[in-house]
Amino acid sequence: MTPNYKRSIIMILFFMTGLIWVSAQKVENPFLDRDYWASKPSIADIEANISKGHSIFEANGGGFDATTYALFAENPISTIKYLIEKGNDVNKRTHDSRTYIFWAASRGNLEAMEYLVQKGAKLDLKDSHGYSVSSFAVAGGQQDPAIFDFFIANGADFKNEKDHHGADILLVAISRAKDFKLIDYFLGKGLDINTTDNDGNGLFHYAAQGGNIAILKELKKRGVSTSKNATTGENAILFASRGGRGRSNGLQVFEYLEGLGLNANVTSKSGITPLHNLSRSSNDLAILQYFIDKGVNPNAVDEEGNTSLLNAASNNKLEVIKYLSEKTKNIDHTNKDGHSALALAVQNNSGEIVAYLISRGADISILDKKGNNLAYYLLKTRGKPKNFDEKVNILSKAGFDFKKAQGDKSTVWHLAVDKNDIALLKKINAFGADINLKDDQGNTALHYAAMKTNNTEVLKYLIASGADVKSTTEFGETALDLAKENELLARNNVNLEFLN
Amino acid sequence: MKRLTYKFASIGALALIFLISSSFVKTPSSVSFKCMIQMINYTGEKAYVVVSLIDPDGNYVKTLYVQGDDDEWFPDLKNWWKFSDGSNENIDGITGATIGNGERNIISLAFEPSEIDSGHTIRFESAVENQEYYTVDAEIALNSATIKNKVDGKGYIRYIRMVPNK
Repeated sequence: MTPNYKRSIIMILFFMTGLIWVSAQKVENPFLDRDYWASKPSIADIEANISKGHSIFEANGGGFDATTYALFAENPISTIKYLIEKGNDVNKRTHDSRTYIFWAASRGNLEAMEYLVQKGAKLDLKDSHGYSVSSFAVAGGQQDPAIFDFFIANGADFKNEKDHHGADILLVAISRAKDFKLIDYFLGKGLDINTTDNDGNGLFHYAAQGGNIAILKELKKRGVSTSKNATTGENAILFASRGGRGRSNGLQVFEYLEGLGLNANVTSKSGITPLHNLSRSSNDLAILQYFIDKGVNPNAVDEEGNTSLLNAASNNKLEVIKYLSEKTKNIDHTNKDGHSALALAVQNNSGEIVAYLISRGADISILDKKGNNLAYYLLKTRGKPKNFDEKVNILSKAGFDFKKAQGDKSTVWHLAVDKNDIALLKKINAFGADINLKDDQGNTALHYAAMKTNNTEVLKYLIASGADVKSTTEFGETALDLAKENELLARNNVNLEFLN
Repeated sequence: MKRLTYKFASIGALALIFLISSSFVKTPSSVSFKCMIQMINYTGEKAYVVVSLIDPDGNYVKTLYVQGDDDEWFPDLKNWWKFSDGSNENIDGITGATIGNGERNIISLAFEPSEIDSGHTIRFESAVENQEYYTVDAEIALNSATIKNKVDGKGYIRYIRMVPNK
């Protein structure tokens, strides 16, 4: 197979646009900076930045754009109007597939909502979690009936709008409710106090997750069912053990629910116990002990193969990991993906957790279902590897071999190239792994770098470390062929001679 | 590897087909290709790409491959999902992980001889969270004379390349 240069015309076009791009790319776009919008800039200031070449249309990797950030920081309606009238589509999808009206609604910004609807904003949309605009407003903590009157006036159908789990707005509202006012408002609009989601979980279960005892008492008083879901095997205690984002419920919530006759030693049909949930969200050992005293098995394995220790290993604190490890029969237990507690800690937690698990005898040569070893987990992180040097030290001292390839034959070089970071590559070099090995797709680390990097220094560093520029892919392409097609390199108008 | 020749007396147009034996070939009579999906370097989440066989009238016949293994996002590939969700096809065995922006995925696709040179196409449909959905990112005619030509994508796919498996 000979390389194909048919795209040379396109490449020339890319180089030309690249010249314009470079000037805009050199400086970060202030319109994608939260702090810029927090300063509530004047229209004159916004226009000055536009004339410097910054785009009010661009979104960052998370899908947030200028208008979204302006709404977050509660900029005046005149600013929102300016951004829309300059050409931001009122129904543009941003983070989690939300349009601007989702963000305006979640902040209770009625003025912006009215303006956006007047400009044609659709209200019959769902975000990527299945929330309608109105459910998202409730999920954002909005409690003002005026906002929900607005949705009704614009055609919202609360009875039939459901999220991916089949939950209506009442179920979404109850776990965040501070009192019963908004709940009564929705009931007054014809919603059913005995509503359930697709799994048959009703208001009491959703409220238990929120953990507001006054709300739970009111629901019980009004006759809402408090009993276990026979289909899923979940009860309110299991829901309460979930807690919310970065928040867990206190002991008094569990004690209240037990007082209603609910069993604390509960296991759902998918094998989940309260300890599975609490080990993710809580670092209160008294609560963990409470459930163990009630007979919950700390070694219970759920449908996915996870134990409480595995759930704790990614994010929880040393005292929780210690507490659960001491009760764990098999420190090397793996879930269905083949993740051990050590692998998860290497990937997501601190060096001290990694060292602790190794000191408990955790196996450093463990492989996951795809044949990946701990080096994969060290490097395969969202963003930069966490506490890299510390973890390398701990693993090396324990005898871990960083030269070993993964199940797909990729090496530490392949894994590190993904991070596009020379400082990291220099550390990888010290491991002494063969830089020219191909993975099972037939590509070397240099091939991947040529495809993906925006930085020629990364390519130059790999070559200086011994990468062979003559090595070809299964399609006969060299790193030069791949680099020529890379839009990011083309945009920076770079000279690729050194790949010859 | 061994090159085999099969004669299809019953199919006039396809008197001779060279095909390549490999573990991917489901039946001795199917034709197997190596297919490279090369993504562009864009900003954003990893793309979901579905590869479907399309009949001469533009209808979905079957799903050939799904690049993206979390079914939570399948409905984002709207046109395909309407077809696949409604049909009883089992896509478990033809689903793979998403790949990074700027990277490539090399998959194996097998076709019945009757699907080649009969007006069928292979459609590549793509979606990225928070970004545009491409009903047709790239489309390749199942035409033995042109199938080896590189086909450019319009969305997240830079190009598709197909070569016979050998």
